Amino acid sequence: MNMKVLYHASRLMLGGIFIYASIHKIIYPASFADAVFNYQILPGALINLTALILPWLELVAGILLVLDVWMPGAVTIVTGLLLAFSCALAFNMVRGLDIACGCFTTSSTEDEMTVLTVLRDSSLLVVSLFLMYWTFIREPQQALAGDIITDRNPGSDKGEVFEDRISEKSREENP
Amino acid sequence: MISTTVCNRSVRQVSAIVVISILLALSVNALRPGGIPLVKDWSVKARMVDESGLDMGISLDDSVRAFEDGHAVFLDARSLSEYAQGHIKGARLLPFEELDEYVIDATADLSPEALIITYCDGEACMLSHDLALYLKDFGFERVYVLTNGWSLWVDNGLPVEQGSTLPQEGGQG
Repeated sequence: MNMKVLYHASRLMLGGIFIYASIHKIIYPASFADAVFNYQILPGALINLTALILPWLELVAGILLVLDVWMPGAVTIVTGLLLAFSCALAFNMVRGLDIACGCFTTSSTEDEMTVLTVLRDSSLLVVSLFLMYWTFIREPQQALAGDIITDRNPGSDKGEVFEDRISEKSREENP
Repeated sequence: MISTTVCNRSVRQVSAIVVISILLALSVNALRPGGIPLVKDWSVKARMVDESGLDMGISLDDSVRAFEDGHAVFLDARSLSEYAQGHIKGARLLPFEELDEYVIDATADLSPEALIITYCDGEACMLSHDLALYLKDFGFERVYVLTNGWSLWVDNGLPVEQGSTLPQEGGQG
């Protein structure tokens, strides 16, 4: 599959999931605060602030991912959040706390935390790490290669073709 | 290699996204109906206060006294399976997660003045607290919460029983 297609599919999927996950929490902040409290990780003074700000962070980052705008910032935030969520989930699984995940709804019955929840978060983390790789390593490399080629052929519309060839070559080298 | 230009851009964008999110969160919370306080007291004691500011907490000693006098009805807010594994002797099952299904059977014979003690398990468990608030709304006037009730009861060797008797069969403790 074309890597570029994979990139767009990944950012749309992750962005969509983040937007969807934020809506219920934004509408019901008090229930989400209960969910945050149940995790028993944050000190009391930070629980409401976290419950208020976290969903907006998810929403803004999700929208940016979908729009393909500010990708370095959005991808870093999404990866950071997923890392934090996975750690919090795993931590509470290990210490055997029987709580609701609070991932997609704030209801304590519809969203029970299981090993599957941790697996789900980890697979999303893989997707976001791919986006990190694309944004921080792959795309800058391609841009650089493109610049060199176009510099060598000033005014030539073959620059793009060369760029594609170079990206294909580097794909072969680093599959 | 990781591009430093992209890294610098990322740091600026992350800061901007965080600031925008904080501003949105705080302003929407301030303007909307049903906004929550920015800082709330989540201590056990504070969580035991009902909407009119009354402390719903009850000590283990007082609970045991009410249990021995036979004046109190104990309501177990945990799930059916946890209840079946063991509960305070005579306690009725009223899982907070399945209120609609159990509430009538569990409370039909109780007068509004009945002394009710709700419990679940663990210092952080909010089920008994939520159940108590619900029962107060329902019209019961003397509802108390024994925080961490199940563990306290067991640790103090107080009478327990097993099995999942139906709520209406549960005796008055």
